[in-house]
Formats: sequence, structure tokens, C-alpha cells
Amino acid sequence: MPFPLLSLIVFLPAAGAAVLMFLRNDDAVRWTALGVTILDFALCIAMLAGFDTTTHEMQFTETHLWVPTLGITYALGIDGISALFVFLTALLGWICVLASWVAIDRKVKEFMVSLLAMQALMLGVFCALDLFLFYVFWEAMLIPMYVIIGVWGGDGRVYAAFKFFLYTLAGSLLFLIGVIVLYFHGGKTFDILALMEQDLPFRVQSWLFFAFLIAFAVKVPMVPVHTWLPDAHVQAPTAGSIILAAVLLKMGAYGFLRFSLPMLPEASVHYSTLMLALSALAIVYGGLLALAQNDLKKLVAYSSISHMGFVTLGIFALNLRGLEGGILQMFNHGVTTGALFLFVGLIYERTHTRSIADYGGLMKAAPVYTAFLALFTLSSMALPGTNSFVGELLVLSGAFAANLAVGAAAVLGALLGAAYLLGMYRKVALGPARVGARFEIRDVNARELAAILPLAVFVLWVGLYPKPFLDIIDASVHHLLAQVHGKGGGR
Amino acid sequence: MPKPLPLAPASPVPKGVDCGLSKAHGVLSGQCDMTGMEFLPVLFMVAGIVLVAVATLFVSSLLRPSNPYPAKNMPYECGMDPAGEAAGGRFRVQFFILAILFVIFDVETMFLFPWAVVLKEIGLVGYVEMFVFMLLLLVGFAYAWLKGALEWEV
Amino acid sequence: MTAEALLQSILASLPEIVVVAGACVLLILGQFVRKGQEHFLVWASVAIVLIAALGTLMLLGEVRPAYTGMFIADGFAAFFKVLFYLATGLTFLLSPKYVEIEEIGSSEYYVLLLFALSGMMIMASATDLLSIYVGLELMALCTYVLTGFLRQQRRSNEAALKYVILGAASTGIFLYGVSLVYGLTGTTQLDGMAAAMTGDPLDPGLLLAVVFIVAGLVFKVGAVPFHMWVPDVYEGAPTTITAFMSVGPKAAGFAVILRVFLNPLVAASDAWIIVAVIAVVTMALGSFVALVQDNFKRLLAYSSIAHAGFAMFGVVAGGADGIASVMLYLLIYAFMNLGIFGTVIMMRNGDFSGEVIEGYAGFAKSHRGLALLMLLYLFSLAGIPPTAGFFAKFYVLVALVERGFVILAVIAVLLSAVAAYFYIRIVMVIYMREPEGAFDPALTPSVRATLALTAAGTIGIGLFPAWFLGLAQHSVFGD
Repeated sequence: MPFPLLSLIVFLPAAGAAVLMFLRNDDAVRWTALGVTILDFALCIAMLAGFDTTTHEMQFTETHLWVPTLGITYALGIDGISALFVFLTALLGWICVLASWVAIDRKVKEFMVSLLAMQALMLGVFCALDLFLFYVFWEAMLIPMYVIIGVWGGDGRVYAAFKFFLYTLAGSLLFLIGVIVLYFHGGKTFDILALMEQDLPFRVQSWLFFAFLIAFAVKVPMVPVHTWLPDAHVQAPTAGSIILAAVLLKMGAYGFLRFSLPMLPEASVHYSTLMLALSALAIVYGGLLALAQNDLKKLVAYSSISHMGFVTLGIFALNLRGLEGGILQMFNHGVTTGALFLFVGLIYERTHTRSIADYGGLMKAAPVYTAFLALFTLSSMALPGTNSFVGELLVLSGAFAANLAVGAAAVLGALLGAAYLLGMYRKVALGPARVGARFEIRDVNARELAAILPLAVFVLWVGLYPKPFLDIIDASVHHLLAQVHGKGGGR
Repeated sequence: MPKPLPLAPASPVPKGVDCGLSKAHGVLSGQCDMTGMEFLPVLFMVAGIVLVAVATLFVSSLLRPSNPYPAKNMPYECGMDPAGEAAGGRFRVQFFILAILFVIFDVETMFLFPWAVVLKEIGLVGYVEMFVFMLLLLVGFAYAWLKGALEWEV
Repeated sequence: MTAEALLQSILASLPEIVVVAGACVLLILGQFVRKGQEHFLVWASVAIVLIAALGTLMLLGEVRPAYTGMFIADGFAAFFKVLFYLATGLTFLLSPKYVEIEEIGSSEYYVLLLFALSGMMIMASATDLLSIYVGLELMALCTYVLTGFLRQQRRSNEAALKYVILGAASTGIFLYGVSLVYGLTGTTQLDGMAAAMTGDPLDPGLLLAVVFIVAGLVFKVGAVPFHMWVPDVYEGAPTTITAFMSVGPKAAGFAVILRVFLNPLVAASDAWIIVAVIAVVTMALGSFVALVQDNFKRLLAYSSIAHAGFAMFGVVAGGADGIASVMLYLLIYAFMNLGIFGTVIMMRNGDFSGEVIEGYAGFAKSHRGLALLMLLYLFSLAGIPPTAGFFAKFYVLVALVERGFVILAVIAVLLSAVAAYFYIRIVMVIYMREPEGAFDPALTPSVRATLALTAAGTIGIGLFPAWFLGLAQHSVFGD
């Protein structure tokens, strides 16, 4: 039996969480958590090193019988699509631990345990090859996230935690019914690969598409089921916001890629126009809302809605450039918005205000900070040379090929992005140094720099030389396209 | 059709009851000894009794004077002021306990009668079965005795 | 009966005999137990339960009809009996400190629980309507008395009185149905009744009789519209008895419903509509009314009603998977419910009643492990993976979808989402509020053991459900 690398990657944080339960010292807790997440990241790099980019087949697979009478297996595996997100999750794991180093000062042990539990569950979602296992990881994530938002969050944390939990739960439960219906129509198996081979009648596909849509749309989030996001993101502690924005939102889009498109190809093609319209709506609406915000964190949260609109736009363009752009953009958004939330968290630690009006002239007080902030703001805006440009370019060219009107609306959204991001940067970093007079702003220290640097590296790497990343996803995207168009109508 | 749960083999329908029960529908099929129509006089009698009682009480409630006062409403005790426990609203629980115990052991006795009648047919097995029954009730009796349920004074 | 048949019957009903005999012995011995030696009673009771469990396990393997068709010892009955042993045994383990604090630790407490256990066992094994009645009444009378055990509290007396009156009424309805069945078919045997029902056209009188019987049984389960007693009785009874009642008699009621109800007639007829309506309304009522409760026991009572409703969905599904899903659901429910009640019982110490939810505020700050356990039980009750509660709900949904009741499945999950709110609200109170005073849970070794066992079951069955699933499915087909 080959070495169970994926199981190790997925469950190492959980084992770390169990070990943490027995530690007494807060510092020991922090260092152990950091150690575990860095080790996990190292394993992930090792996995990527051994990843074969030429095939679309699942790699590093492990299969064990779990509940044979119901056709449930414990099956893990990654392909080009999921490999990137496993890497992203592992990367953000230790960055989040670093981000919470001083931000979390009470119940540190419980926080790190929750964070590591989240880590394990998120990795499990991306690696699962059995629909039941996927659902277990998907839903179980709600528990630590609820606790993280509710215990260590801001003033409105309880409301935000409830909203997040109940919204996501309702969507997921309808997804569960879809899963069970799929199980029966797909020959009484939960195996994802087997289900992809099935040929389902169009009516069944339609119903399943909408059942899956509800869960994934809430997670992405798509308009109009996005209202949980501003509350959850704003009230969560820094690490929670980073994880939410960078990884959790990707799971919704990953769901589309792994389930809706390959298993329900005719329905996906049929409803793609609707999805494109909703994506364009999210891009523009999210942009407009962000433009109106005075709260720094809320602005970034609404920008997330806008950016994820680009992702779903790319996915439902259902062509090579759209899909590759969408997936790459998922990775980019994880890096960039994760970094933006990190920055908001850093400045909040110093000033305890998120109101943009309180800021101004940060450049004089913290030049290194504002320099990196500029990088990530420009990345979020999709400036050429940064990662988001590559992603958005691919998405837009794919979208124009799919539907001209939607593409045009999306470009408008990109314009709005520039507006609110540059506006935010101007108000916060440039101008007279109001903030330095009221608060004591120290520049980033070594630990914070250690958290920021990798993200900056990826912004520039993907922006200037995206080939390695596109190589990873290429074979799997081609296969996905064949699955969608092979059975469905061509485009 | 779902597979039925495995249950015990059916015992034969008891003999001697033949009001068309071999057919699985209908209550009375006209082959019974009593038909519904023969109960009609019973209904008339019940109706008549109820009617007479209600009519009498109603008419007398219309005709009699209604003038209650406390002394008149007190329970009758041969002309004297009410005395004793019942008048005070108190109730001796021992009466209740003894009544309940009586019911239980009376029912036990009641079961002994048919058993005694068929004892010859059911033989030793039947004897042992009744013995077990009485033993269980004996445990209850012992418990009642030990708990002081049979004490009369408080 | 011949001597040989009698001996066969005794063998088949050996566990019940052990429990009844043990209870009788304990009843007399209990009068001679001195103050301070009550632990003897607890251990004796647990020993009786274990011996009976041993007997049931040894009798597994073949189907044994007994007492001329009134009783049967098969896999189905054995599954439920194991559930009852679990419920009663864990109740005994939770009792010692609690009854000491509430001063209700007399021998009658343990004896009544043992008699209730024997009543439930008879119900699970009964194949005749009259033996069902015997078991039902035995269990019910014992629980009536146990409900009113907190003699000094008005709440307890009121609860017992309500329970007695409503229970007597429902038993009366049940008996009326039995008498109708006898009148129409000439037998009270369950399979005789089933045989009579397969005739065409369906006799409305017979259907009415079955409705009455099921109505009487549904009372015990706590389904709408016979749920009125549940909140008051659960709140007024001693918490250990509430824990017992929420698991044992409910499972016994379902066992009888499954035996009575799931014969070919009812599966083929339109009666499933009625059960579906009952299931939906029950779950809806339980979920919505629990949202506004602030007494923990009352909230758990309504949650109990909601869970009974979900189990009824499994009854609607019918078929082998439907029955197995109900059985597995009840087993998992036993673990989670005894766990959460165990924590409420544990909190009862000194002046702290452990019943007001707000009183638990900030519990996680001082008692991390116990708060984590409560979180586990509450999320399991809400049905979140990877706990066992999720798998229980999942399997019922699989059974529903398999039979084509997709709309019912959607309604069930939506109501589940509503119900999740009050569970996570308690988690919120425990974790996200500041504590108002010090907590002093009465954590005795036996309570620890109970919490460990229920926690192991709750998370263990969630992670490794295959064996338990196989057990349930196997028990349905019988041996």
C-alpha cells in the first residue's frame, strides 16, 4: 500500500489539535500550532513535488471501505483542480497561526485547537473522493467556524455566528437531499468518480443542479444569498476572516467544479446563462456596495463578493480560458484577500478602529506596511503584473466568448474595483498623517513580515510567471471540459 | 411490498364463536344469534329511564323554592353539629390503602376460582403457574407489611 | 400449555424473569438496607440489568416464540432490549449523587425502574395485543410513580397527575382499539390481525381500530396531537427519570408501533399519509416551540418531541430500510440524550438547579472538558457530522428518498435546520458569555463513566457506523 500522504496531510492538524489539548502554557500552544501547520505545509510541498501534471487522473488516492452496505468509502485523492487548493489551505494555515499570535490573548488553547480542526476539515473537503465523506467534512466545518466567530469575534459576533451557521446549514441540508437522490439515481454509490460516469436524465439533473446550487451559492457567496458574509467576515477575528475569505469561499466554487459540472453536464450547460447573469450581478453589486463602505473590513468583505463573482463567471463560461481563469482566480483571491484581511487585522490590533475616516497618512507612520498594502490593493484591482490580472484576463476572455453582455457587465465591475480600492488606499495610506497623532502606529515586525512575505511572493510569482500554476490545473481542466461538453451541448 | 416482520405462528381462531367471523369483514351477517334490531327494546328502556329521571328533576327544580343558607347546607349527622374527621375535611389515608390492597387481593382470589375448577385438567404445570402468580403477589404483600401499610394507627 | 412448552417459554423469557425476580428481591431487601448503604441498591440494580443483558445476548441466534404466540424472542426484540438495558443501566449510574441531593434515594426508586424495564422488555417482545397492553401498563404505571417522586415539589406532583390522567386516557383508547380488533377479527394476535387485514375490500372498522391502537401508542412516543404531557412531565420529574423516560419508553413505543403498524395492509394503504402528517406536525411543533424555552429540561422535552417526529419519518418510509433507520435512530438518540441529560444531572449540586439555560453562561471558561462534551452532545442532537446524530438523520433520509418521499425529506431537513438553532444557542451560552458565578458540578465516578460511554457512543457511531448499521439491518430481517 502506498504511503497515505493525503490522509497524513488531512489529519495531521487534527492530531496536532488533540496534542494541544494537553498543553498548559499559552506559548507552548502557539509554537506547537505553528510547528504543526508548517510541517503540514512542508508535506504539501512534497506532495506537489510528486504531482504529475500530465494526467487528469486522481493521484495519491487512498480507498478504504467505510460503510459497505450503503456504498460509502473513505476515499481521498487529488487532481489538478484540488491540488492548488490543498496547497492554498496549507499555506494559509501557518499564516493564520502567525496572524493570531498576539491578536488572541484569551483561551488561546481553544482557539488554536479550533483553528487546527478547521484546517484538517478544510483539507479533507478538497481531498474527498466520496460524496458522503465530502459532506461530512463540509458540514463538520461549521462547528469550529461557529466557535471561532462566536467566541473571539467582535461586538456583534454572536449574531454573525448564528447567521453564518444557520444560513450555511440550511443550504447544506438541501445539498444533502440532492446527494441522497444522486446516490439512488447513480447506482447506489457515493463514489465521486463513479458518479461522474453516470448518465442522468435531464429532469433529474435540473433538480440536482438547483439542490447543489443552493449549498454552493450560499458558500461562494452568490447574490442574493450573500448576506451572511459581511457580518461573518467583519465580526470574526483576523485569522477567522482570513480562513473564511481565503478558503471557505473557495469551497463553494470547488463544489461547482467537482460536482455540478462533471456530474450534471446538461443542466450546467442549460443553466449557464443564469449563472453567468448571477455572477455579473455579484460583480457589480459587490463593487457598488464596497464603494459605499466606511468600515475597512466590510469593504474587503464586499470586495470578496465581487471577486468571487469573477470566479463563478469564469467557471460557468464553460470554456478553457474561463475555467482556467476561474480556478486560478480562486487561488489568487485566496492569496490577495487573505492578505488584505491580514492587513486590516494588523492595523486593527494597533488602533482598534476599522473606520476609514479614522485613518489617513499611514505611509508616514508605517512605510513598510503601506508598501505591502499597495501591492495587495493593486493585486486586488487586477493590475497587470499581479496575480489577479492573469486570472481576470482569462476569465474575461472566456466570458466574452460565452456571452457578450455578461462580459461587458463584468468589465464594469472591474472598473468599480479600481474605484473603491484606490479610494480606500488613498484615504488610508496617503494624505495628511491624521492617524499617527491619535494612535501609536508601529511598523510591521519580523513575525508579521513572515506572514506577509509568502503572500507577496505568490502575488508576484503568479502575476509574472503563472505557467507552473496553470500547468497543474491544465490536464484536469481539459478533462472537465470533455466531461461537460462531451455529454452536453457544445459551446 | 415490504417484507412483514417475523411474528409468532398464528394460533387458531377460538372455537364456538361463529357470528360470521370466518369471513374477515362485517360484524354481523344475519347468521348470528342476536341481530341489531333485537336490542331496540333495550334502547327504549334506557331512553325511558333517562327521560323520567331528567324530567322529574327538572320539573321539581322549577317548582321548589331555592333558599340555601350555610346551616342548611351542612352534612346531616342525626341533628347534631358535624363532628369527626370527615366533617373537618380530613381523610384517613389508611382507609384508602386498605381499599387498594383489598382490590388487589380480591382479584387474586377471583383468579383462584376458575383455576381451582380446571386444576385437574392443567395438572402440575398449572399448579406451578398459579404458585408463581401467588408468589409475586406475596412479595407485594410482604412489602406492604414491612412498609407499615397494615398499621391502623397512623 | 404442556410442561415442555412452558419450559421453552421460560427459556425465551429468561431475561424478563431475571429482571422481575431481581426487582422483587430488591424490593424486600431494600427495606433492610440501612441509611448510608444505598450504594448497594445501585450496584444490585446494575448487576440485575447486566445479568439480563447477558441472558438476552445468549438467547440470540434463533427465533423463539413463547407463551402460545403471545411472546417472541427474536433479533428485533433483542435490539430494543439492548437499548433498554443501556437506558436503564445508565440511568442507574447517573442516579446515586442526584438522588442523594434530592433525597429520593429510597429502594422503591430502583425497583420501579427495574419494573419499568421489564415492562418495556415485554412490549418489545410482544406479539399479541394483550401482552403489549400488559407491558405498556407495567412500564407506564412505574413511570407515573417515578415522575412524582420529588414529593416536596409541587411541579413534580402536578407532572405526575397530568401524566396519570392523560396516560390512563390514552391506554383506554388503546384498549378500545384492541377490543374492536377482537370483535372484528376474533383474535388479538398481531399476525392474526395482519391476516385479517389483507382481505379486500378493506374494512373501515378495522382501520379505525388500528387508528385507535396507534393513537394510544403514539401518546407514549410523544407525537402530536398527544404530546401535551411531555413538557410538563419532563420538567417536573426528577432529571434522572426524565432522562430514562425520554429514551426507554419512547423506544418501547416505537418498537410496538413498528410491530403493529408495519404489516402489509398499512404499507399498501393510504394510511402513510396520516403518519406523514403526524411526523411533519410533530417535528414542526417540537422545533418551533423549543426556540423560546429557557428551562433546559423543557427545551429537551420539546427537542424530544422533534426527534420523535424525525423517527416517525422513518416509520413513514417503511420497508426494511425504514424500520432499520428508526431502530438505529433510537439507539443513537439514546446515547446522545443520556449524555446531555447526564450533564444536566451533573450540574445539579447545592443551590444550583442546572435547569435554567442562562445559568450555564460561561461554563466553558472553568470546565473546558465538560463544556466540550456538552458541545458534542448538542451538535449531535442538531445532526451535524461527524457525530452519530448526523448519521442517524442521514439514514432516515436515505430510507425516505429510497421510497420516493423526497418532499418529505426536504421538509425534514428544513425543520432540522430550524431545530439546530436552539441547540447552538445553548452552545453559545456556554462558550460565548461571561460566567456569573462559580460552577460546582457533581462529577462522581459513575457520572464520569456514563459521560464517557455516551460520548464514546456519540462520536464513535458517527465515525464508524458500519457495525451498528449492520446490527439494525440484521435485526429487522430477524434471525
